[in-house]
Amino acid sequence: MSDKHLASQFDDDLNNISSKLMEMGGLVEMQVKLANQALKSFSLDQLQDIFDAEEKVDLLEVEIDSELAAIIVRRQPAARDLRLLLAISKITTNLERTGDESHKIAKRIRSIVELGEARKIALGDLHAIFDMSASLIHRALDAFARLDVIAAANIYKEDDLIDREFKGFTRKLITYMAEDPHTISSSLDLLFIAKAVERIGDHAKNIAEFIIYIVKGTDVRHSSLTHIESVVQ
Amino acid sequence: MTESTAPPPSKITVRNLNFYYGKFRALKEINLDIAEHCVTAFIGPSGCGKSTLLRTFNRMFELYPEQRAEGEILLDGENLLDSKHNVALIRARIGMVFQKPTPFPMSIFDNISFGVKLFENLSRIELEERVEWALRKAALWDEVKDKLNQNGASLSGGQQQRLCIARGVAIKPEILLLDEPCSALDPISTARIEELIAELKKDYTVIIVTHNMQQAARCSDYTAYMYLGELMEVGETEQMFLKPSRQETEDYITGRFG
Amino acid sequence: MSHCTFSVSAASLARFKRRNRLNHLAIALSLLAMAFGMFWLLWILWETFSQGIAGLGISMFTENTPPPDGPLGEGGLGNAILGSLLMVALATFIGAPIGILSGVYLAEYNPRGKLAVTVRFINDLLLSAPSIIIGLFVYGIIVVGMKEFSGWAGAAALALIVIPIVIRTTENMLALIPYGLREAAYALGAPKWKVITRITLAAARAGVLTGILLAVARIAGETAPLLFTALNNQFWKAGLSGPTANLPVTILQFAMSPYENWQQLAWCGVFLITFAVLGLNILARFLARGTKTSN
Repeated sequence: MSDKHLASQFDDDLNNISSKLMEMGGLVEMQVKLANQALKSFSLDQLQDIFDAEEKVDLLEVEIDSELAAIIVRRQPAARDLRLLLAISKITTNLERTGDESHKIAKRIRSIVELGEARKIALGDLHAIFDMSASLIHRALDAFARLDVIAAANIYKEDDLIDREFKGFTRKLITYMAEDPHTISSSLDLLFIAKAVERIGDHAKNIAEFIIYIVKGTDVRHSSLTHIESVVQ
Repeated sequence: MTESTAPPPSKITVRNLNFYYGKFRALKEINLDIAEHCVTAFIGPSGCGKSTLLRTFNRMFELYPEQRAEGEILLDGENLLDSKHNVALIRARIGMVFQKPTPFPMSIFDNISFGVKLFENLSRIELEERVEWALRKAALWDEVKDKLNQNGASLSGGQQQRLCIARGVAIKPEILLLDEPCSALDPISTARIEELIAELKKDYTVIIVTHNMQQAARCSDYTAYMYLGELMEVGETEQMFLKPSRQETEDYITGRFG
Repeated sequence: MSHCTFSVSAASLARFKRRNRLNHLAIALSLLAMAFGMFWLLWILWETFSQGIAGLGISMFTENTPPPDGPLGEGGLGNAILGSLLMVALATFIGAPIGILSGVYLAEYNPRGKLAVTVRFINDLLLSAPSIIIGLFVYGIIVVGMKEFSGWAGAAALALIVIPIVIRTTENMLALIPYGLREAAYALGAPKWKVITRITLAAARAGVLTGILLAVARIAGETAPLLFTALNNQFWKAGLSGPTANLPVTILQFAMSPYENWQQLAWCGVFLITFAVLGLNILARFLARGTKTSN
């Protein structure tokens, strides 16, 4: 097919807004990565970078939304273009929330480090979950850039894994808290962190769903994995 | 060929329709169902055959000796291309409104009554009632009720086009063919006509040819995309504008054509 | 427009000025040419008016043409006016319907058919044929056949001039009607004759009428065809079935004569014809303004 519109300005607009979304994605991805590293090292060094990025992400979200409105009002997009723009609108929301989750994680890390109790708790499982979430966000953005529905379907699959791991980690925290009440405060912080990490995975999954919507035109939210796989084929 | 997903009964069924301008084949093996009491829009680039297809439904092409149609167009099961059907009677069942407003050189009243008197022998009072009824249907009554004796050409472009719609409606057809009815009108008149189309589909089956994709999206239930004399795709309008099943349709709808 | 020159280079300003001078020169020459043409036209009108108005009175319309060399102001042009009016009316009455029907055929029924092309070609010939030839033709057919000059023959000759003019204008006026109007009428299920009479002819009505008026104006002053057909008559007695008085031939005869009273009457005749034709033209122009079809 020809990828170009008769109106080249329209192509420019779409490319422009897509790159803005990728820029926003890059910032959010960095936030997630920094949060992940900070959790592993229990260091406060880079937390400020996460907070700083937050502002830029929020600005980009507003900017993308206003450009979306401008494109819609000027071009009255249809079919693929309309799906792309609708999806971009939803993806920005998910990215912004991912940023929020990183922000929350950073705050909890600070609180844990200040309390100094968390080192008693084995965090291997949480690190594994965080690595997966961070990777999902990265791959979701990558799949968006290439409009790769197969990659998107795989993201969807792996998010289930994160959800299961999250439940396991929660049970483990409950055990810690029952055995040693001193860890309750840190455990609660860790629980919130784990929840935030799990949410990041969900946002990656949502982004994957919108990629499938852009390409296939089918809304796969709230549907089964088998359905998604049949759509992607 | 994509089959229509139309659940409502079809009013017109086109089967293997071919159309020729002299030796040029302008329509190629068209198969299409037009749903009753729905608005069906034909879209496609200039020269794709959408107006040609529309003009086969009331055998308008017969005015031109070098044009001919082959195949079947079934109206309630009867092939209206069959020469045993009188073309005037077909046209009484299938009204048509054209691109440019075409008021007849006579009064507003006579513009409406002209067609009615061809087929019905009404008393003066019945005729007056019919004219009012038709003008109300076309949402024009309030604007012209005090000047029914004025010439039709004295109205504005948008009013003239509604007069033409009233004229078509007055003979109580079952189907209304609209050939780019808004292309010569300003946005407000266009909006009025689109509003009217939504109103008319309660009583009529409406087929509209339009260059304006947004118009097709706004006022039709089904959309058919034509290209180079072929019917590429037909489906529910929302589906066609959100996720058409053919790449060619999507390219046209999103302006990637050419 | 001097206010446009503010940012223009010297070279293009020079070109602009030269163009401007040429423009003024061309306008001046055109005005001069127009004045030259208008001068003669106005002179003719003035002569006609001043010479014709002198002898004009009620008797001009009521009394017949006088014998030669009578006293000035005696007699009138009554017989000639009546003869002209009757012949022109008759010719229009015969010629216009034939012309309209033929024009309708050419415009509405297979306009590119062999018959239409042939008719159109012959009509063009007839349209540009010198009127004296038409007069001779009618002389040969009717006058020789009936062994007598007559007003009927005059009317026939004039009708032959009317027909091609009306055919041409009717066809052209119908061709101007947008095809969409016909299609709209057919789309309602109207039969062809109804579309033509109620829609297309009605839409072209003003144009067709204009054509007829122009034809009337044309034949009102025709002399040549009447010389061979109606001839002339000093009196009014046989109606149209003998030599019949008429304005153009009377003017010719009287103006060429040495008699002052006849010359005076000739001027009056010229005055009457000129202003009748002028009036018809103005009327035609007025009607044509209403032709603007709303498509």
